[in-house]
Amino acid sequence: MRALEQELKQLIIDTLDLEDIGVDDIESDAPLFLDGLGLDSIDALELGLALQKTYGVKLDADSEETRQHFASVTALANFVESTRGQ
Amino acid sequence: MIDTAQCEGISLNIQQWNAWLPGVVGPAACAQWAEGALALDLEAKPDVSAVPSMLRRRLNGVGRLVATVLWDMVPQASRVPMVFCSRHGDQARTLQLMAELAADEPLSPAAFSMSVHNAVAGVLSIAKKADGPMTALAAQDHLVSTGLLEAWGQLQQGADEVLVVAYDMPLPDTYEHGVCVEPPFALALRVTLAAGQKIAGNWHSTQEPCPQHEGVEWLRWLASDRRELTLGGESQGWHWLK
Repeated sequence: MRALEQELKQLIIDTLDLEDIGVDDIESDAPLFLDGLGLDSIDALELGLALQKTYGVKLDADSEETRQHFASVTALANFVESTRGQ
Repeated sequence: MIDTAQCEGISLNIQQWNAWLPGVVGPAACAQWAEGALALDLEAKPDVSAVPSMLRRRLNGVGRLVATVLWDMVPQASRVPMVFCSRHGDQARTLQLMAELAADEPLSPAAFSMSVHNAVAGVLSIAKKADGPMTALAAQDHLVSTGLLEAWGQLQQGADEVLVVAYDMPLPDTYEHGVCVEPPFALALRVTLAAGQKIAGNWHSTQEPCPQHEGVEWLRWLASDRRELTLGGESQGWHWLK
């Protein structure tokens, strides 16, 4: 498993106060929102802010691309990595 | 028995109540505490393990106080009107947001969403899928009395029962000057005009000093076998009978 995915899982847990969840409980390919981890729209905003602070990436709250980036931990890791290459 | 000639204010009936003070949990413990047989344990924290973790994480100090007294009193899909009363609300969270603003930091969306006065009501209504009318009040020195006055009004308008919950926590040290600081407390009351323990309250003009701990004094009276309670205030006092 990629180190960045592990790092993002820890960031999600710390940022969103997921008290009872550990890194191993989050599947990289599972949906983060609704049926998967069960995050909501406030979590999306909070996570967007944490990604901005930690990795300097900017996310447009309304864009369809942002939805795709937030689909799973793997998608987020791909997105963060792609911005590093720029 | 209540002499109605003495009290023309409001009267209602308590069907059920629950309360939390640090180290004093539930009506039986409150009765012991009111007798002086049980002391507060200021280190004690409310037990909110019944709240699903994905919602519990949104509740901090005051939210956990409310959840611990109210959780078992609200059935799933309840439509009972609820009145949430807190003088200060979640002031620690507001202060944190103001500090972030002052430091030119971006605000936490989650902290912002929970900083409004009715945020706790929102989280609990989601957790219980309860879609009854919700009211959030901020009263100054008569928190419980004001909540009961609001509930009485809703009962007059046709509600069968109303849940009133009054709660507060000490303010952060930044605000220490000139404000009565109660110990953390939460009191939930299910009131109705039908059967229950009858109480009657009335208000009057007064300049008597406000009780340091109005919510706690009201709870102490409720849990005791004392019949009367008189509360002063900056411009208004309350007199309660049971």
